[in-house]
Amino acid sequence: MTQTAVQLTGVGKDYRHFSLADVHLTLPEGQIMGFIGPNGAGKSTTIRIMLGLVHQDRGDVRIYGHRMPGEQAAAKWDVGFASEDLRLYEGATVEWHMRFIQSIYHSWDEAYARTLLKRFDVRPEQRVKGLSHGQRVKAALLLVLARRPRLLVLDEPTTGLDPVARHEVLRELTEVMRDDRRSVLFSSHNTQDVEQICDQITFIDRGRILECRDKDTFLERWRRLRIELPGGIAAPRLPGIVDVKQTGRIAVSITNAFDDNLPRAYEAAGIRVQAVEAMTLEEIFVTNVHARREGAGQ
Amino acid sequence: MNAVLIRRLILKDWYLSRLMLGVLGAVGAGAVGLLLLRNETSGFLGLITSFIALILLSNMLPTLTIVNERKHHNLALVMSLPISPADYTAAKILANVLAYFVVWAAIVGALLWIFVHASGFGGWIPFLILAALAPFCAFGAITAVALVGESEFGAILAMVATNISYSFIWFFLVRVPGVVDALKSPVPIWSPTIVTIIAAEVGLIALAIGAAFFFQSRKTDFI
Repeated sequence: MTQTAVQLTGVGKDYRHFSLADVHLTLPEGQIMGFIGPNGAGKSTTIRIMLGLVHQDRGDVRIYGHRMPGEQAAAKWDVGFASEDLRLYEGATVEWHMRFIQSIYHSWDEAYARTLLKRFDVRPEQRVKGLSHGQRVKAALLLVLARRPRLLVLDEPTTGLDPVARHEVLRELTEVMRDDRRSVLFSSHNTQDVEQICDQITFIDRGRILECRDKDTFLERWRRLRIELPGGIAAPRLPGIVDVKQTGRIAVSITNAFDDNLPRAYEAAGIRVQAVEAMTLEEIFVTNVHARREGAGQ
Repeated sequence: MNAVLIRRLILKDWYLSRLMLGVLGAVGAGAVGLLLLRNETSGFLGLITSFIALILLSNMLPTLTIVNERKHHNLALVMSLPISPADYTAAKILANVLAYFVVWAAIVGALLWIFVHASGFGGWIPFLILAALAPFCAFGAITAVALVGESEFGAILAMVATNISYSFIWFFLVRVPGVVDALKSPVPIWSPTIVTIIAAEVGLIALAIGAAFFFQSRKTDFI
């Protein structure tokens, strides 16, 4: 039976200038979820609540059935966390960090750690102070990956990495997911990274979850239609259309519920459909956020 | 609470502060060495330097293990380990108090040994303990503010306040009748005033540490 790695139900947290409201999120075991949102959307707050670093004001959080934050000590045995703002001790070496983590987790895989050192081009005897940003991120990821946690929670792990380092990190995450009992929650505002490795996508903006679906459904249901209208009429907003931009007789309409009936509906209204185009995850995300902010969403 | 993980976190803090502990321990040892030369100037310098080492340690230890850990974003690493807030607080307080106590006890113990074996200075022994407990109180207060306050500015304020207070505390101590009279005695005199002040200082240390544990382990937001 498939276990649920992460379950958030009606989670909320209030700050003076920001509220996380009614977050529902489910990550089944063996899945990679991309958690996408602009800066300040609530990604990090949600992740911190999941790990017990911040306590929710409302709602229920469970990690592998452990209720958070009360059972965080038990839950965190199964969770590996790496974040853009998680830093290693500058005065200590990478090797010291490896020994420290190894002394805590019996699941530490020394051979895998040595392999990662080579793949990530990180020297164990080097002090963290002397590492580049990319090497620091990779060293932190190494510490998480080498103990083989069931759930990886990565909060913007690729931010600020050069393309080579980003590729190395993403390749390693793809390797991790060959074990179908392991799950990853991958937060980022880089939709390219998310599109590359994730099975499920969750969009968050202004403290609210906008949409949560599997990636293929997202990519199949969102389409851009280029349409040509008869002179003098405005593009109709058919069901499922989230955005329309019209210039003269030509309009571009975007739908989040595409099926074959939509072009037929346009044709029936005397509107010629010039093209139906697939959208990238970034385009879907930006349109989704704008549509919700303008109150035009579904 | 997870005793094994608390122990690991304590050892981690000691390892990361080993250089500072070593340097200040060496300064303390040097100061005691000056006292052993048994002349007035070196004795004065030795006594002052011993107290400087204790005061520096009371400032630097919480700064290194608590303030810098937060400032340098290492706290997320620690709190991602399988520990509870109470485990973290217990580890942080034990690591700091034990490390401070070991250095404090070594320096103050050596000073006491010298005064016990120097004829005619017995009356100084109670005063020495009173005076040496002041940096320990300051350490307790700075540790509590650094841990609970979560602000570098707050910790700096606590350090400034405690550092300024030494002049007033020692000025006050040498004018308290039950204390100043005992100084002139060739043997230690444990007057009720002295015992009361020592009890108050120990109580203050316990209160600061206890309050830090109480408030920190009940926090809801760590980062």
